[in-house]
Amino acid sequence: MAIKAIKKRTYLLPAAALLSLLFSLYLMSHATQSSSQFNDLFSSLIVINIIGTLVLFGLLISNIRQLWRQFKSKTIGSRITAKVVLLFFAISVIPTGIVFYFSNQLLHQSIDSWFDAKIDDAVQDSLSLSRRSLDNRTLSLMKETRQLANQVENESDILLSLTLASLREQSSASELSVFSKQGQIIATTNLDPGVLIPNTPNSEMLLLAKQNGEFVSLEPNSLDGLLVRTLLEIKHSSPKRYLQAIYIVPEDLSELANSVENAYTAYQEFNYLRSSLKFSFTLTLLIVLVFSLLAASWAAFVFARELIEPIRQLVEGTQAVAEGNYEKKLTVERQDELGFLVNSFNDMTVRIASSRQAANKARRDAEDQHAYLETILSHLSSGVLGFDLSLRLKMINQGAGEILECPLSACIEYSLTDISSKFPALQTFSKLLIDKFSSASAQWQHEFVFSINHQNKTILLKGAPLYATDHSLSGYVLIFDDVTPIIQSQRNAAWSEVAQRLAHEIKNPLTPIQLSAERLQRKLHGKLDPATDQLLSKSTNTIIHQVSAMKSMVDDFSDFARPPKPKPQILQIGQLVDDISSLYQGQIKHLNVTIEPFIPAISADPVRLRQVLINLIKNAQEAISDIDNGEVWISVEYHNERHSIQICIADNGLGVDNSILAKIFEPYITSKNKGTGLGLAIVKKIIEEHGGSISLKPREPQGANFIIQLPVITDKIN
Amino acid sequence: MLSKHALLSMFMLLISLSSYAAEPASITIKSAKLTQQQDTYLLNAQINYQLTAEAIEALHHGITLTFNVDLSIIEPRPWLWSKHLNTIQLTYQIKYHTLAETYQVSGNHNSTQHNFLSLDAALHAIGSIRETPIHAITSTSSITREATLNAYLNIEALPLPMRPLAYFTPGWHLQSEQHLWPLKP
Repeated sequence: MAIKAIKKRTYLLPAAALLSLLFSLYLMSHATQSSSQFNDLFSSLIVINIIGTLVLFGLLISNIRQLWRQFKSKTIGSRITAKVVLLFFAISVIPTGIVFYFSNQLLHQSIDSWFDAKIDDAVQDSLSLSRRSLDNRTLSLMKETRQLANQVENESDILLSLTLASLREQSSASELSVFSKQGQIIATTNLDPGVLIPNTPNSEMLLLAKQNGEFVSLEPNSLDGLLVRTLLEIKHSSPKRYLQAIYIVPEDLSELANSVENAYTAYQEFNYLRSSLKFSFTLTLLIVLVFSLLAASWAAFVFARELIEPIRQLVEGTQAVAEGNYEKKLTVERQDELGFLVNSFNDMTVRIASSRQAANKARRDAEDQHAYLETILSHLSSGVLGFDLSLRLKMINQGAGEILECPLSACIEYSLTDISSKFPALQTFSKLLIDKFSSASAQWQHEFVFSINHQNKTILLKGAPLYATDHSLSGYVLIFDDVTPIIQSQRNAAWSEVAQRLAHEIKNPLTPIQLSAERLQRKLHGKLDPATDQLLSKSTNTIIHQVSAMKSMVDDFSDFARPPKPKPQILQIGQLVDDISSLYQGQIKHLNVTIEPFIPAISADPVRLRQVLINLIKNAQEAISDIDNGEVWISVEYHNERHSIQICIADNGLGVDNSILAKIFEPYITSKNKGTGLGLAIVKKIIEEHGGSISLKPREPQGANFIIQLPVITDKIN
Repeated sequence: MLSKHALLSMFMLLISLSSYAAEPASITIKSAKLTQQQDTYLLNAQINYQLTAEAIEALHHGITLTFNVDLSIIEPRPWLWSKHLNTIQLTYQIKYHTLAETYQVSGNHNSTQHNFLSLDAALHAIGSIRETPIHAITSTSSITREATLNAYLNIEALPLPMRPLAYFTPGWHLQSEQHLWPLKP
């Protein structure tokens, strides 16, 4: 599974931005108060907060997209993160939504409650009252101005200033000025001598005065006071002149009027700003709400990541352990229960790792032990077979295959029945094992003789049950040895003993018998009648011949029992075979001799080997003597892999009867009508003295084939 | 750090770009001229202010309207943006006095306050800039300079609760097109 782990991030920068935004929100809420020093920053703060909220929103969208991808790819921890974020959002959206709704409602109601129809009327009435009061005053001042204008009707422009000054002192006007039709100042006088430029009427006022003959207005002055401007045409003036009188409304009256004016204006302004006020507060609240929700959601991501970090580590650790990596160590950064869990996991992996090490050591020990046993078993000359309870072959060593001369190592898991059907030569062997293992519960021993590859083998079997550690029967083991050579040597020893006794007991009286017969023949020859003499001669000759034959036989026995000490020397066996075979080239019609060109020299007694070869070639010659197209084959080969020389002497004679094939090399076993039966026994003895072996194989379609194996041992002579 | 005006401009761009594009200029600069008297430049301009219904309603409800007239001296550059040499801001305020039923006009460049019986007269008064000395500009003959004039209603000078809504309302977007003329040394 492709795991894209949720990485731990540095939250310092976003947290700082969040705090800044929070501070900005605070400033914005503070700025809504009319007396705040942040008043001018209100719009900027709104922009900053909206941008900040949008950035936060973008951050959240990015997190949600990342989470969605992780959720789809089944990343570790994505489900928990999603749940935590949803939980946080649900927890935050409900209370903040409720607070927002009720705050907004309360705010709207509070703002609406500021305005009342009665207050509205009262404010309007107070304004009307003020106006009416000031109107009366204005009318009286206008009247006063008319009187002043009458007094300057016929005044020349030169004296006008003096007249105006005099009139101003008599009247309540603070400033008197005379203007031309174009608005030029003709004369002016002011209560304050420092004021040189009069409060000139604007063109609009002048126009009204021209149109109506007079103009009056109440005006606020720059000192938060009120003044009354009266402007009227001076009758009978030529060119036309206009008198302007400025009256300062008494301070107490001005203050009252201003108070009413300010209160009315403020009320009107508030009334006008009602909807804007609601919008601004709602906007501020909305930004706070959205900000809170986004911040809560973002905090949920942060919290979830922090929460799942150890869980993710644990999952990774578990997967590592499942894959066999017990060295995996998790980093512990928390002191809570999750940290404890991570610690416990680390302890567990340490214990598993140590247990695994111990198990590995035990396994290695067992493997070493097994290898040791394997080595021993493979080098044992004895055969060892292991079977399970259903007598299926579980184990075999090299010695077993060699003794049984069957590739049993390929028959692992075969039952004994299967083995017997695969190798018919082992049928009796398998049957014996089935019988023995089925019937005998304890250890058993049995000597078993069977024939394989035309050879009789005697093997000594020892069977035993195998027990598991809980003492339950788990299988069987069979150990067997090929005792054929031992039996053979025992037999040879017995025969040697017999031959020696025969030689000793028989040979001694033979010479006196022969001498006595010859003496009888010599003493009595010519002294008896012819018929008797002939009988005597015939009888003594028979005695002498038989004694001679008996002597020859006893000599053979003597050779067999006490062979001469071999005198080994470096011998080119190919050359020897060639020499001997050449003796028979004339005697055997079809003699085929094949000698490989590079036959290594061996250490052997040439006299004894010559005896062997002559004996075998002579046997072959005798075997083909009674048949047409008799043929003898002699071959010498070098077998590099066995490091031995193989000499084969074969014929196509009548061969050897199967009944004696297995015993042909034993004394007194012969297929010929004449002969002592010791020839092949002596041959075998000589070959074995040279460390070799000899076997007889039937030749197809008929005949016999003697195969001699001689080891190439040259160091003996050194 | 972003200046206040930059932030406001961004805000306006973000929120009401379309409304800006659709709204025809309600303040028109008829003429503008800088004349030199000795070392001082004098500004003469005629600006025609036409208020929207929202602005008039607000004015009659006691809201003071502030108009800014920005005079900038720039040095045009062939391959780069123009270099701002000076920016002078003239501020005019118009307020309705309910009791006196007059429109009070005041400016930051002089302390006098003028009262007008009608709104048109008041607007005409603030639109008539006569011989206003601009001391920040110095005469130089080495570079080619241009002068630009912009007149607009300052939303930031409105009462605080009105500002957000004013940014969203096209009726409050009173601004002239830039008037540009070469400045002779």
